[in-house]
This record gives sequence, structure tokens and C-alpha cells, in this order.
Amino acid sequence: MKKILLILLACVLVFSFAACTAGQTSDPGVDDQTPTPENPVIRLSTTTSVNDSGLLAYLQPSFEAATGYRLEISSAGTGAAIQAAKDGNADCLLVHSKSQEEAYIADGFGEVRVPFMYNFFVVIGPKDDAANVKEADTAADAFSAIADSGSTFISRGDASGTHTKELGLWVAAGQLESADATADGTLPVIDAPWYLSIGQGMGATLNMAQEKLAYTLSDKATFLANAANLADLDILLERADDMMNTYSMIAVTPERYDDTNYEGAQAFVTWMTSAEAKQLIADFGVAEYGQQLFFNLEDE
Amino acid sequence: MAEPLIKLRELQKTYHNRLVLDIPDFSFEPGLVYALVGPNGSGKSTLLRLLAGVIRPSAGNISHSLTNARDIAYLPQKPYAFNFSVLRNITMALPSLMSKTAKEERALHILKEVGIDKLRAAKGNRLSGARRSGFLWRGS
Amino acid sequence: MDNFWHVITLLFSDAGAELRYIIGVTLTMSLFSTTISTLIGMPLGILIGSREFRLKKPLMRVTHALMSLPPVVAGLIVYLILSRNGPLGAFHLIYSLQAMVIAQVLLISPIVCGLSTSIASIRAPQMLETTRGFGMKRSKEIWLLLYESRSQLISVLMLAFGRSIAEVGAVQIVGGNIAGKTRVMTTAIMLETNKGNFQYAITLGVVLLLLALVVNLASAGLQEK
Repeated sequence: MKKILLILLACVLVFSFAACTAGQTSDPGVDDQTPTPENPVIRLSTTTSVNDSGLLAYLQPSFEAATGYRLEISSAGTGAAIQAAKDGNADCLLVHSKSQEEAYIADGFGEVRVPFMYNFFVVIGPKDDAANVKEADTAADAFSAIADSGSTFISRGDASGTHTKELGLWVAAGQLESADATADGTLPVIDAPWYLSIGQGMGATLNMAQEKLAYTLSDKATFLANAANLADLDILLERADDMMNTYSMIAVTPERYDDTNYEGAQAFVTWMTSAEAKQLIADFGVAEYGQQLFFNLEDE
Repeated sequence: MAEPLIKLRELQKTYHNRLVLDIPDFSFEPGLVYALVGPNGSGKSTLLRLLAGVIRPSAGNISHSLTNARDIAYLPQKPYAFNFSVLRNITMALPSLMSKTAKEERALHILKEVGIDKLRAAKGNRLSGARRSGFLWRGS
Repeated sequence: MDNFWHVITLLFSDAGAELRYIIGVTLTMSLFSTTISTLIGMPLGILIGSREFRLKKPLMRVTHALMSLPPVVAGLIVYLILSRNGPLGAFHLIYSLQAMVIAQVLLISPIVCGLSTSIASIRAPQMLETTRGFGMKRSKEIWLLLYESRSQLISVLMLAFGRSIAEVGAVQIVGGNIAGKTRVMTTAIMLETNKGNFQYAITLGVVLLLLALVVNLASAGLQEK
């Protein structure tokens, strides 16, 4: 009996190895047109908002077909995405928190920040809008209104780009003194019963807002992608001047770790700013949601 | 003829829908010694356990003319000794009508009789099987 | 080792207020879920293990299946029941300590019940033959069986507590990881890891290990008796 089990196990192992190598050699559509680069795998560390909206999955096949590289995408909050790059677990970053990106470059982990697209944050809230956010002109005004009415606000609280943006807005609204991290690496929290810091991703935060009929800050794409489950919530404020959400790419420096795929990262950055990619980005989501979700930054 | 000590009537015991014991009518008379003989699985233990009240009959009944049901003593093949002192193991088995001191006196007496009164404070479950059976038998 | 002392000093300093609060919530939750799961699972398990009845086998199968209920599934079930549109939504229990305890009880009572059943069925046949042989009242049997099995049952208790304190999937879903309300050690570790704040995550991990050690020492002390 034991012998049979062993043989079975051996078979399973051999099969899985075979499957792995098969997957590596026969990338669809690559072999004919483009020569495979020396190091074909690019590890892209990105944020949940880009990944959950489906943008990367939509761009990936075109990029791979055009360049012969393969993308391995891992997504987390901006803080963790950047940490992964610092630990040598990524070749390229695609994130949306200017202050954290600049700190990353200042620490010597990358050379240049390439802002390439933007979208808008939106203030999400219950349809009856007790805090009257709809009447606000800017996000800072909206946040003041939420604080004044004592309506529940759910904060990502996970050091993500959205969380960083939210803290900046609370400072602008006069509810926080500073949005900077404290000595032990934690970000400030508003100490009030209406403010819930939940340390979870955008999807979980929106779910809790729906459950508790609360306000929150979200990127528009993630809200639209999940709108079916968020029947009691609405976009109450968008396209205000202080709601722009800029995405940047940073190629990870090859000087820290030997196996960093710098050429691959450069190829990704170049392709993402190409005319082909720009057209794809501008078209993304238009058919499904009836509106453009991501906008290209004009070349500076 | 004296009244029988224990009377069995239409006694039946089934386990998982299988009839293992079926005694239409039988009486145990006073002053006689009975030996229970039979092949493996013929229901000897089942009958003893029924008599001792460890298990209940599936049908029929057992009646007796004893003043106290606990005059029936039963020692299982593998008796269980509790994680108390040997002394307490014995008092537990004594009739509940007895007072606490009377029980203890009786238990000490039994221990002396068996010759293990030095072990009275030892834990019951640390004793060997033979010693267990010894004191538990006297206890019951 | 540096990390260890860093943790100890942080625990008793002003900066450790948040950490102490998280530990407090974790212990409160674990004590409640362990106690309730034990009160439900242990008597039930002892009863199933010591009696013979028709539904014994199917009942044991169900218990064993529930013992391997994945925490996230337990969390999901409780979430759906307690959420605003759920059958018990009117009680507003979602994202509260109570909700976390409910999910954990769903998760842990089958484990306590299943293990108690096995423990009882080891002793019960021999013990009951002896006690019934000398005519002990049936109501007393259960207590005696509990007392005789106490060493193993304490291990079950510790296992239940360990499961509760280490569990993350269910409490994240129904508790929501709200800072200063439903954030416990495990969800805090998840969060700090996601933030890339590994130093603080490790600190929390060390505290969790220390707690587990204290609980285990206490249980060892109880079992010696």
C-alpha cells in the first residue's frame, strides 16, 4: 500500500514539473514575433486599486505580446508594495503615493519616478447623505462636513496610497495636525468614535461602509467594479481639484540585488508610456461602465 | 419451597438489532450456588450485567425479594479504580445509607483483611490489576 | 534578543498603549470564546462518548466534519447571518467583539465536542461498568467521568484557547479589524505585514508567542495537580 502511494506521489511530482516547464516554453503568441529576452520575467509590485480594477490584467497580454517579457504581478497596499521592492522581491513598482515614492527614491532604491496616468478619488457615502457632502466644493470641505456631523467614516488605515491621500485631506480639513508617520512607523489616527480605522483593502472597506452606512474615500474604479454589492452607497463627490490620484512607475535599481531585472523594468516603463498603451488605458472600462476610468498624463 | 431470590421473566437483550440473550423463565433459589457455563458470546457476561443493573433489559423484567438491591455485588472483569485514594475507592462502593465514619471504618477493616492497609492513601489507579480486584471485590 | 527586550520595554511604556489595548481585546475574545465553546462542547462530547444510542455514529461524523470547518467559512457564515440584510441584522452585532466570539464558538465548539467524545469513550465503558456495578446514581456518573478525565480535558481547553488566540480568518471577516475596537493580535500582524511594517509585526508576534507560553505553563501547572 505504501509503495503504491509513493509511486503515485512520484507521478504527481513529475507531472507538475512537466506542467511547469511546458508553461515556460510555450508562451502563446510570443515565439513567432518577438525574440525572448535573456531574463524574461518582470516582477511587478503594485497596489490593490490598480489590480482590483482589472487594468493590469487588461494590459498584460498586449505588453507580453509586444515585448516577449512575462509579468508576475503582486498587489498590496502601497506601503507593502514599496517594502517588497526594498526587500528585493520586485523589479518594478506601480504605485500612487507621491510622498512614499519620493522617500523610496531618496533612500536610494530607485532612480526616477515616472508619473504616467491619473484618475480621481471619490467620496463614497450613504445615499441619504446626512453630512451633505454633495454640496461640498472640495474634498477637504466634504471631510469637514463629515467630521462636523459626526457621521461614521471608515478609513483604510493600511498605509496604502488611498490612506495617505485620506490623511492629507484630514489635515486640509483641520482634523489632523500632520499626516506623517510617528516614530514607530504607524500613521496617525483620528481619535473619535465616528472614525474607524480598519487596516484592510479597498474592497473590505467599501463592504464595511455599505454595512454601517458610512462614508469613505475610494478610487473610482474599485467602487464601480464593486457597485453591485454596494447598493446603499453612492459617489457623492468626484472630480474636485484635490481629488486627483496620480500613478507612477519606478524601475528598481539594479545596484542592490544581483537578480533585479532592470532591463525588463525599463521595457515595461517604456511600453506603458507608448502610444499603444495610452490608447488601451484611455479605452479601459468605457464599454463596461460608460466612462473613462484612467487618464493619461501628458508628457512633460 | 422458599420464595426465589431473583426471578427472570421473558428476559431479552438485543444489541444493534441482534438478540444476544433470551430467557423465558428462570429463578435463583436461596441457599444454592450457581455456575454460569457457556461458550464465548453465549451471553454469560450480559446476564451478569443485567443482574447487577449495569445494563437494562430490552424486554421482560428481573424481580427480586432482596431488601436492598445493592446486596447484589458485581465485579467486572476489568474493574475501574478511580484517581482517588484507595480508601475513598472503597467507601464509594459502600451502601449510601451508611454514615461517613462507618464507611471509613468498614473500608479500613477491608484493607486490613486484604493486607494492603498501608496503601490506603495511594491513588487507586496506580495499583496493579490484582490488587485492584482485591480491594474492589471486598468493597462490593 | 534585542527584539525581545524592545517588546518588553514597549509593553510597559506610554507608546505601548495601543499594543496593550490589542492584547486586552485578544484576551477578552479568547476567554469568552473558549469558555462558551467549552460549556457547549464538553458536556455534549462527554455525553456522546459515554452513551450508546442510535444516532451516535452519524452525530460523531457531523462533529468530525465540523472540526475541520475552515475559519474563513465560519466567518463568512456568521457575517451573512449578522450583516444588516441578514436574519439577525437587527441586533447590529456585525463588526463587534460579540460577532468575533460567535464566529469562534462556531469554529471551536465542534473541536471541543469531538475531542471530549474521544476522551470519554476511552474511559466510559470500563468506568460505567464499575460504578453501575455498585449501583451509583446515573447523574453522578458524568461528574465522575469529568473528574477522572480532567487532565486530558484541560489539554482540550488549552487547545481551544490556542485556536482562538491564533485564529485570523474569521475574526477579520466578522470583526473588521477596527482599531481600538475589534483589532486583535493576529489581524494586527496581518495589517502590519501588509503595510510592510515588519518590525512592529514581529513585535506583535513575539507578544503572541509569550501569551501562548504563559497559557501553556499555566495548563501544565493545572495538570500536575
